[in-house]
Amino acid sequence: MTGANKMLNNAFGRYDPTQATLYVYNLWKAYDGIPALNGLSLYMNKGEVLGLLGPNGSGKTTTIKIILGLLKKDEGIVNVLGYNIDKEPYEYKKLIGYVPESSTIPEYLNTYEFLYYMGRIRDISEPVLRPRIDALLTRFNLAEKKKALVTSLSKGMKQKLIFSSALLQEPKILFLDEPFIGIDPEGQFELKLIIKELMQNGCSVLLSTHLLDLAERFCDRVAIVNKGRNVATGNLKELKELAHLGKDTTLEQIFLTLTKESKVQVETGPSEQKKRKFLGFLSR
Amino acid sequence: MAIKEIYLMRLIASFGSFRRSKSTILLLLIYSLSGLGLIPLILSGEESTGNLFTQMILQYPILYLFPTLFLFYSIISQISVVDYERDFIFSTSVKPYEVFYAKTLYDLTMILFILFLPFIFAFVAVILLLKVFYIAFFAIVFLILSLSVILENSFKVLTIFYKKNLVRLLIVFVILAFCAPVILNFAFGDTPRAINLISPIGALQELLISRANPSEMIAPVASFFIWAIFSITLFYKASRFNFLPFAQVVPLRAAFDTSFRYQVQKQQYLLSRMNRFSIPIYLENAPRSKVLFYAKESFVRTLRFGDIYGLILTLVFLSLPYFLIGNSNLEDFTQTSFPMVMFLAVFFPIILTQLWITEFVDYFWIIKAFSSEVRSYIIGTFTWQMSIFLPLMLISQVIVYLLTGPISFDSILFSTLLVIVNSSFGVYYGIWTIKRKSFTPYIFMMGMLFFVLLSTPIIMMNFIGKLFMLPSLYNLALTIASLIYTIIAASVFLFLSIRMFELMEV
Repeated sequence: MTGANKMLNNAFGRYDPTQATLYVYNLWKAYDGIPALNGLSLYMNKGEVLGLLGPNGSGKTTTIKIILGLLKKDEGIVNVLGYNIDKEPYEYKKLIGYVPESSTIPEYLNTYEFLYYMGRIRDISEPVLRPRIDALLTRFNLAEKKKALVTSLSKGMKQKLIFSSALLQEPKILFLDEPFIGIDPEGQFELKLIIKELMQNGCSVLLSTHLLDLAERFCDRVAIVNKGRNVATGNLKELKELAHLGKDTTLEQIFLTLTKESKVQVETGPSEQKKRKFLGFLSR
Repeated sequence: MAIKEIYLMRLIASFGSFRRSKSTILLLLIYSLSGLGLIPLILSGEESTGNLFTQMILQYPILYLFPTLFLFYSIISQISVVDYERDFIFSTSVKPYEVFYAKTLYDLTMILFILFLPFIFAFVAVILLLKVFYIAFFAIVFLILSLSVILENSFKVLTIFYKKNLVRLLIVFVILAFCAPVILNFAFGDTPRAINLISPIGALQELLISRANPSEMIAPVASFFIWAIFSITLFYKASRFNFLPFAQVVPLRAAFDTSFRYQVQKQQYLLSRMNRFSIPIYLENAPRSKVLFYAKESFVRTLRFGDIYGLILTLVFLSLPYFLIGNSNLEDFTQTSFPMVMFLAVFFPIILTQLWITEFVDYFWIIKAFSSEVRSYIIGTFTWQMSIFLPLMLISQVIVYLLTGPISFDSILFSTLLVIVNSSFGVYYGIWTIKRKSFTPYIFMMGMLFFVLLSTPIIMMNFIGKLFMLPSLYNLALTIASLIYTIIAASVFLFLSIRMFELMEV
């Protein structure tokens, strides 16, 4: 076992380097001195849906943005599909898909142009790209809106369009940041089917949400994040054990118990600065 | 009566932005001071300058421009209400005519505020010195604007309730009648002064010209009176309809709101308006080269937001003096062609960069998240700017050539170099602004200063040769020096843009 794997094993418990498609270790980030991430660590296996669960402002979106290179981390290690994002900041981007929290996509392009634009940015060759766009437009019932400007689409349609753009290059990892907000139940059902299909093909999904019932039904494992830290990670059974709660406990109860405990820990634990220095030393 | 409340509410909402930012107040101050130059003209004596005004300004088609634009706007747009009005006011027992009156009053206030503000000091001076001619002149502008706003709003409502094409035809007739003196003069040369009476603007001009002779004032007064009756009748008719369910709901567009969010909002609004007139060029047939792909994407954006039309319109306005002076056979006029091209080369990159930032700021995450390299995007953006400016400069040169004769080769060369430096700096400035997330007017002013400073060496090197009448060898050396400066500046700014893009957080 290599030094890095040993370190990750210590951090994550049952970490298997042959299965992991993503690991984030000891991630720190502050905005103008205000901490957003306080040493967050997590990993994700191949074909797994990992739920990133936490209240507003817990650091879910910041984590995803750092992984995607949209934000710079202060400290920590991020490895996506074997690429260390510090050393190889671009290669892994051809292999991932991303559905952001808010639908800010170029409104001046039409539906087809938007997908074409996204495909070209990702260096997908034209002969591959065009049939894929047509297939995705049909799959997401957007074929009729092919020539419509993005600005004229409804919120649900825009979200579908972003979703289809994330699938253009058949991603190995899909990052979904609150993906179902604004989509009708029928659309949500459709998207969930597509995600399940992707998982069967070996795609891992990192799903950031604060919808507890969605995480409970949809995720293989859940990482509960609070105040920029991973409070607990595991499947529902493991989390129940961790929270010392009974069999019929819901994720909501687990979530509330664990986040409350973490709050107490933060208030009574060692100073953040000391801990940060110590973990920084370890990661080096 | 809710008219006063609706009107005041809109005013407060519009001018609320003044309280928010110091830069807005500063901008307003600069704007209002810009007309100070008129005061010496007013003080210098009524008769001579009065005649100058009569000859130059009143005969100049600029007076026809605003009414024509207002009326034309009523063809392409529909009556609008502000979003908060729809949500909070229309659910009460307010009557449609009250909203209509308040809206018209508000529109008139805003137009007067925006157009009269630069002349506010001149206006105060005119009142204090009791300069009758100028008071009459301001009154005429006020009457023309009032008539235009009343007609614009009335037509917008009537379009909803009558056959659209019939109302539009009527608007076209009114526009033609408004501009009749200009059109007939342009077509047939010197036309009889009675032609002026067809148009309300012409009638008011006649009134001003014939102010010394009261007997000649009857016809212009009668003509204007007929136009006023016509406008008020239309206005009254329009106010009887319940237009509220058909009105377009728009976000409140505050005057002089310099906030960046507002600029972005305004661009979104422009997209919905201008896209209809866009030339059908689509991104899906983009070139293979990634640099050209990005350039084309930016070009499509420029077309759909209508930026290109804005630039062309500016070019037309800049060419107007050339049309006017060009006909007067002034000697050495070719010397004046350079400043116009130079203006384009310095200020158009600023305008386009600012538009690029406001239009693309929300989409940088796409490039950051998915692009396998940023170099192509930066070079592509630079190429896009060049692809806009070079043809525009060529057009301006052709205009100058058609109006004044030979084009100076120096002017083309140095302007091209200016455009290269300013476009590369534009890319850097855009990325720097977004990285810092600083969109305040101060930063914009600072950017403008740098655009001008970076242009100075090239402008200097061009003028040194002419000023000291240096031999051609020295001129060649200066040209080579400008070329080297351009290459170094462009390379440095593009390189820095790439580095900065990599560090940018979105």
